[in-house]
Amino acid sequence: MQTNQDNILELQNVTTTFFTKQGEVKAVDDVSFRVGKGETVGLVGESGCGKSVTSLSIMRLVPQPAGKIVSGKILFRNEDLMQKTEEEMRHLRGDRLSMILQDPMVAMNQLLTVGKQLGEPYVFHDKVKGSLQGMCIDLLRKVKVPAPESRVNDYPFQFSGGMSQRALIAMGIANNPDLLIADEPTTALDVTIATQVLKLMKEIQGETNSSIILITHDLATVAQICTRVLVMYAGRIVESAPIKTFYKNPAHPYSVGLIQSVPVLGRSVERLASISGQPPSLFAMPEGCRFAPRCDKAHKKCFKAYPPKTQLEDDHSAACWLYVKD
Amino acid sequence: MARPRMHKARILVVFAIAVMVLPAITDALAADDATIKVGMRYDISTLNMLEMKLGSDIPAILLMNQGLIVPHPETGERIGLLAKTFQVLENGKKIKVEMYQGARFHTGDPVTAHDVKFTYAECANPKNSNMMAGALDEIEEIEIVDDYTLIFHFWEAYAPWEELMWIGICSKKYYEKVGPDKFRSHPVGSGSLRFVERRIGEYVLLEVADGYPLYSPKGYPGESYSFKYLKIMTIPDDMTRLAMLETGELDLVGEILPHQLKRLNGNKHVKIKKSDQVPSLIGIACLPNTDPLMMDRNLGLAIRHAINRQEIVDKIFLGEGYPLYLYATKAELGHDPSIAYAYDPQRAREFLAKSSYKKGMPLTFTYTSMVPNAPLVAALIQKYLQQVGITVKLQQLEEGTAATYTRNRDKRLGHMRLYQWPGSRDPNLRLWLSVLSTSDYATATNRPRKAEMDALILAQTREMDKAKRAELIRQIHEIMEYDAIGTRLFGLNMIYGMSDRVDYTWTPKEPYYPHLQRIQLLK
Amino acid sequence: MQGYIAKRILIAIFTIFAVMTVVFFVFRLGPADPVAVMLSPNATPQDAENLTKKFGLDKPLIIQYGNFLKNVSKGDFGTSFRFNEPALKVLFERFPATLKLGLAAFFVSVSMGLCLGILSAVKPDSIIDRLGRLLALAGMSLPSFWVGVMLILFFGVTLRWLPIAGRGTAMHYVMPTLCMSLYPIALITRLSRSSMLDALKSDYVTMARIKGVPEFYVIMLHAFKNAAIPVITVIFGLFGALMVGSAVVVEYIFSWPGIGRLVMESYFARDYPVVQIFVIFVTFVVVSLNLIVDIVYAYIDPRIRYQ
Ligand SMILES: Nc1ncnc2c1ncn2[C@@H]1O[C@H](COP(=O)(O)OP(=O)(O)O)[C@@H](O)[C@H]1O
Ligand code: SF4
Ligand SMILES: [Mg+2]
Repeated sequence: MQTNQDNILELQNVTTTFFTKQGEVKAVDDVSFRVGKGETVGLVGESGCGKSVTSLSIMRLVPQPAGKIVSGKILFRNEDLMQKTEEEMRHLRGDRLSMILQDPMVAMNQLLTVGKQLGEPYVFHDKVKGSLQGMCIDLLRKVKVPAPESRVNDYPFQFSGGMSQRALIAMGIANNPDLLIADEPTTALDVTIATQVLKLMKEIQGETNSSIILITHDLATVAQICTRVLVMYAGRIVESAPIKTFYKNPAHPYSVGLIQSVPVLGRSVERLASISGQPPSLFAMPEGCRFAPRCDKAHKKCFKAYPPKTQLEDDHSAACWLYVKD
Repeated sequence: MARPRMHKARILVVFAIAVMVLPAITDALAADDATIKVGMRYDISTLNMLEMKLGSDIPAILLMNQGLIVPHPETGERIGLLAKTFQVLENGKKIKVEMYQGARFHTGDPVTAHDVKFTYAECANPKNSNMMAGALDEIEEIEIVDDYTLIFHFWEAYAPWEELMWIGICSKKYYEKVGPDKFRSHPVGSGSLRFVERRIGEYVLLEVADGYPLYSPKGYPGESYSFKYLKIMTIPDDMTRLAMLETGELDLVGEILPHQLKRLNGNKHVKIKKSDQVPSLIGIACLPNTDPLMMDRNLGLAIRHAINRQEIVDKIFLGEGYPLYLYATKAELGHDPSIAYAYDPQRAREFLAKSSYKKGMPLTFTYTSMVPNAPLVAALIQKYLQQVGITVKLQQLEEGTAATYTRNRDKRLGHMRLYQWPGSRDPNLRLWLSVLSTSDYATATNRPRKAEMDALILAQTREMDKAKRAELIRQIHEIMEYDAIGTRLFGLNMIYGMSDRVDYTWTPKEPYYPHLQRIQLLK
Repeated sequence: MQGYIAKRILIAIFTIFAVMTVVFFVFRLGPADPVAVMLSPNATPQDAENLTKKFGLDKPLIIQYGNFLKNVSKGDFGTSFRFNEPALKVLFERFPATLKLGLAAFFVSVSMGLCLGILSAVKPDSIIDRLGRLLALAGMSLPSFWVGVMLILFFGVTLRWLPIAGRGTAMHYVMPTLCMSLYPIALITRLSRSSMLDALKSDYVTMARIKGVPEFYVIMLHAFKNAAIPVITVIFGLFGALMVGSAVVVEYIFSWPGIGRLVMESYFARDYPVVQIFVIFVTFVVVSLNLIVDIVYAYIDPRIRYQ
């Protein structure tokens, strides 16, 4: 695969494994995808399929010592992050490359004021100009936290869920990163607040021109703000498509199931009405297509070998035997 | 590759320096030429002669306060110190004492008859709870003839009067000047060492007071001392005390147990000495007040013959002791080596058969940690008694509990009790306290020949003639042997160790150190 | 907050009073009589009577208790039978030695325990972690009496590196401090390791790393501050009691003239007033340390402070 000057991020055959007492878990298995400059890419899939581990792999923050990126390249601004030292990575993190964790209540340090935590991206990247306090207040204002002047000295437990998520987003965007990974930023919030938060992210993206990887359960969210969708199943990317193509013409039977099961806005893929069964245990992966036990289109071949990625049209690919021409 | 080796080399150098330098520092800390360090198990409870409580207080107090009498350092016989002459008047009812003139307290004041009278009065004063108070009740009055002559008036003739004459004389003038609190914290005497500092629980530091005592009795080393300071350190743990002797942190340690010698023998810087002339008596008290069975003469004889005393001494004390059959230590008036009970299980069984003891009846045998290696001694005695058919149940008691039981004649003391007598040279007080049937501490108030025994005890106290008194004491022992209540087991040698830079010899007949100032610093 | 502390102080006073009463009766109803214990074998019955009167032990127990309370309210905790001096004075004469040793042990065990705990949590399964785990195991299982004896034989007698007992130089502190610290080091290492591991796994630590916070600040500012909360309970809440417990043994072995040895000697001599004041004092210390824990908690954890 060639590098593309328009790409901010490109993963090439990344595999991340957890070496646990029970055995090895390939949480991310031979994953390749790209994110263009200014693009918003949705990463969807059931809980436990490896979305968070994928994003932590990009940050090079896979939980130690069990987890390890065992192979692949992570090209960020055309440089392979796998070749970077820990100190070089530290300089990128929170500056060019940022991430927002799933649950704002546990992602914030309860013992430090919100302001102190907001200021860290500035302090540790030598970005403090003038008053740090002022910068933090501006940041809070930017994410629409009311009364930021007094709120900046509050502790996280004094913030509501929605406000915490805003504050967390503020930390992520403090230095206008080139890429922001938002790991389920709305899962912990109720619908109205979730919508506000999404709107806010969109606005901010408009201002900063960052690329975003939006990880979510919620296809409706994807429809709202993403330009492209990556579907992940059991550690692998099974389909990659532009948003319109994906809704109109989904290729992978798993994607089809996903879309069918989400007729209403806000409905989560956690409850997949039309796909029966459970995702496979990562300890005991089926040999063939991982979706085969649940797939109504499965045939003999599907149980024998994993399907290769097939390019269907520009920018649309899927990994399914249905599309492999012999 | 080079760097780790560098590290190793550096670590080795640091280690080598530590090995060489640290011991030098600790040795320098330990070996202080001017100071002799003596290790004691018990902390001195007071330095105030007037409030003296325990035997372990005696060494330090008597170094600071000279008495009228002192044991001769080589023979152990009592000789005059502050007193030049003693005169027994009116068949022992009065003792006239003439003192040396010129002895001075550390304040510079002369030691006079007034100080003697004051000291005796305060020691007898119940408010001071002095350990000598009871014995001093024998004295009716002290009459001052002149500044250096006084007469002790006794209520009745008191044969062991010498036992009251070693009390260290304190300065009346100083006491009246500074009051009891200051006197307690900064005692002043006329001894050859004077008080410098006391750290409670830690040490007492004494300094050689040049020119004291002014009148050295014959046999007493001269006025020049080979050291300047004497530090009496409290080191409660046996193992620690001996370890300190090994490293030279202590110069002198007493009461070493035989099994502890093995370590010390391997150390060429430690010198071990032994004395078999120390009052020491370990025995079994049988308690008829708990169970009349313990008055059975045949059972008593069975017990006496059943026990292999020599084996106890050899096995548990590695031979550092001697069997004892008599209620008098080697150092005590009335000691009679001719009395003995042969180890003879067969005879023991015969006596047992004649006794009222019924087979299988358990006898409780209690002991405390006061007796060295008490659990081993008790277990061995249990074995001997079981061999001849006496069932024994062992029980260890905490010392304080046992002391209380003894005082209250509590049944929980059991049938028999292992005891140790710290010893003295005159049996009088012991007879009065533990044998006289009216005493609170008597183990047997219902001895068969009780009346006869009580009369003899009274008589020997009043008998001023030494030979006649010895005969009375012999008769007392005879009754004891006849009554067969309790038995004596063994006495122990005093084993004491010292660093190779000092020399010291035990004063015979003394349980404590009365002459620590005699320690010689060797070159 | 103030109301909370006032309530705690009231409870503390009640606790001390209850302990005082229990101690008073437990000792006096026990099997041993101080007079019997204190008398030398040469003492006469007259001596015993004098002592009994002097200590006030001739009066009925309830009257003794009444007098005791009356005196305590006047700040008089009785006179030591053994030293003939106020029990409080006897205790405070010996307390500095224990305090100094305790503080040395406190600093050694807190710094060693925290360092080991943090380092082994930061690098699990490293050499330091293994060493820490070994030390924790040893510290938890080896009795301090045995450790003390081994220290003396090895560093004192065999190597001659350290003086065995007594005081005076800094060197004299090394062995008793080590002996006293071993258990708390083990405890703090284990505790700080596990709570540090939890903290390092948490999202706020990942978030800090995501922000590009350098690892040192991640560990000390984010992880450690959170991990410290359960550790503080042990350090302050248990330390007082722990120290007093091991002081009895350590002070005995190393002949340290502190209150641990004092209470042991006093107990065996049935010097009730000293044992009593000791128990009251220790209760006081433990109760106040717990109060301090509460305040320190509030200082560290805003969730409590802002209640
Ligand atoms: N710290 C860890 N140790 C072991 N396995 C882990 C760890 N974190 C994640 N995994 C494994 O990786 C899989 C993917 O997890 P994750 O990426 O969190 O899923 P999700 O898609 O819900 O974000 C999980 O099913 C789990 O088995
Ligand atoms: S490869 Fe087979 S089993 Fe897998 S999704 Fe396609 S049709 Fe279904
Ligand atoms: Mg996740």
